[in-house]
Amino acid sequence: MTCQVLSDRMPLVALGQATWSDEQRRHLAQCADCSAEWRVVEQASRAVSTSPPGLDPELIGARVLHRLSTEPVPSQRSPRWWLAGAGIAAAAALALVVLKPGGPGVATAPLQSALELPMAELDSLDNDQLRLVLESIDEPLETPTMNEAPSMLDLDDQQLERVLGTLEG
Amino acid sequence: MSGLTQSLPLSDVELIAAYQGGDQRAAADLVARHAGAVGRFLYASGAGGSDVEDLTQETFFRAFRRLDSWRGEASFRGWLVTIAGNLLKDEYRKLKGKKVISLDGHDLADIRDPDAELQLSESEQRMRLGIAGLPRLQREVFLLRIQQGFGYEEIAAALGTTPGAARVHYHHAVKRLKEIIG
Repeated sequence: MTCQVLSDRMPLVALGQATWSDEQRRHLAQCADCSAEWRVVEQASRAVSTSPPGLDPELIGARVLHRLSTEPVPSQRSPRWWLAGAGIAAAAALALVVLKPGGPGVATAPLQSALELPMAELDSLDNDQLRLVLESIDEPLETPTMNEAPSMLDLDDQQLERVLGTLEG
Repeated sequence: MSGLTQSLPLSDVELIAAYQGGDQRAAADLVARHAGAVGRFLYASGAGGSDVEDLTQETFFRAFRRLDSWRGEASFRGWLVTIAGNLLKDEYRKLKGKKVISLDGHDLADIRDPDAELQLSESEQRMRLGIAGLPRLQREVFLLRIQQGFGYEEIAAALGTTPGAARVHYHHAVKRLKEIIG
């Protein structure tokens, strides 16, 4: 009989889903660590078995169903749609530079005049999206810094849990 | 001879499939089956009595909107608890200045619910405060063990950790709670 066997069984006994064998009872009576842990588990089980006041599963179910039928589903378009649009916009900007009267060899201010033209797709992009468009035109001028690393908000739930897990004791 | 048969209740997987096939009643059955557990988890985690119903509702709403993302590695209840835990984390972010009380040198969020506490002994109140004050992963592992009777494999699947890590978190939680209840 090991302490780990008892420890693994304690929650089920506290929940009334299992019982102690005679051998386990004897160990519990003799082992200070196990009896201390059992005291915690028993008390905790009682303390957290309290239902929150007024919780009405039927009402919750009705409200959830109502929301599901009335609240619009958020758009789940692939993020690639904006990249395609941005690519077209970038290509259009380049085309304007190349096709300006005098051709590419003429010393004009091609980039400046391209940027002055309305580019609705580029205007709608956020900084990360715009950076990707620029990288498709030029090599990056500098290596990415920490500021360009994904933020915590970009992490999905599982990734966030892992990060929190490394931070918590 | 009467052909009385008692049909077994549908499993979570069957109810989910029924809901996805258009059976609204199946969704209501899932809520009825798991709302109490989700509510108790949130309540024990420190959600105020008045917030628990809203958070429970939001948990199920998000779950039903994301059913395709539940691939069955964790139990449906374990998955719900994970969603609930994330919602609670977001709530805590919004309530950064919430009151703190000191209990034997441990600073704990003041989650005392005067109406509910009339039913609890002093030691149980201390225990509730102590559990709510555990670091998040320790708290969630501990509650999944104590409230739901989950094994470490199931906890690991629900929380995206390993069984070994879950066991460590549980024992850390027990150690901290021993200090709090004396």
